[in-house]
Amino acid sequence: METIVSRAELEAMFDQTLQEVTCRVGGIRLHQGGAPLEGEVYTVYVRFDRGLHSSLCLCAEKSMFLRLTRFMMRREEVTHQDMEDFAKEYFNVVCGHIAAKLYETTQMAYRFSVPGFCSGRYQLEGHEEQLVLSYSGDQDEGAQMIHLIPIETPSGDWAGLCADQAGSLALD
Amino acid sequence: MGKRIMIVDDSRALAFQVSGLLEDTDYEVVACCQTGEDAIAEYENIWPDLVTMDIIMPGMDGLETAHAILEEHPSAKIVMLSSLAYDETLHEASKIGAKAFVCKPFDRDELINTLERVLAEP
Repeated sequence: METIVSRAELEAMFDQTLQEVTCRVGGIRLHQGGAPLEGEVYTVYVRFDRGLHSSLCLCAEKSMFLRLTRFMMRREEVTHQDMEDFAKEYFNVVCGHIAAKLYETTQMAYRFSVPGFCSGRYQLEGHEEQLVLSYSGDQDEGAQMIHLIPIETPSGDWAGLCADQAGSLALD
Repeated sequence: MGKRIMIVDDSRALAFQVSGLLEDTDYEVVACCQTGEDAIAEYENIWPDLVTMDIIMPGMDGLETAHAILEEHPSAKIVMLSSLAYDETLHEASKIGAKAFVCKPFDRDELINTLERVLAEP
């Protein structure tokens, strides 16, 4: 059975969840828009491997991840390892809430990988950026939520989620 | 005497947060396991009063781990701590025998009230 979630619905789920969780967990108010990312950037990412075969990333300036970590640890002095650990825990919560919202709409179960963290913008071979939502934090930190989907293979094989001609998204 | 809590979560951040929330309470974090396999092995060494269990972990996930512990130790008290809070996972956790499900993010009161309630059960 195929369940359709429109691109607009998916975008709204990502946006609403990211803003709510970032405010509650990290004490940062995000609003859509903003300039391109500047300076040192990092990406936290997960791969959805059940229900939604794609990857979701948050690429942000270091200042945002540092502020998030300080808020979550309730201390000023944080290490790079703290930043990585707390960014992953924060994104785990974001993605869990997205999975719960998708379940409400589709009645399908969603699971994702343990979050990863890397320097720079995350690139995943065989995938393309299908949705990019840009944000500014209330202290001007830049961030982008990126949805990566598999590129269709020459044989026509296709695993996961893609935009159809009507602009909808088919979740297997 | 304080109640002994074992945290099972691959996230060092979550263990840090839970340990912080339980400071100055009657709960003592006696072990933090980062994998399900470690948790199963450690359970019989530690005999905690209660286990908090994440779902998404490398290797065995938290539901599989909880199931394995409860098969061997049916009286184990396991509280799931996860952001994957939708009907299917809630139902699965309940079916396995987990005592409660706390959705991340949670605050100190939510956590402590749940631990108190579960530990008060016979």
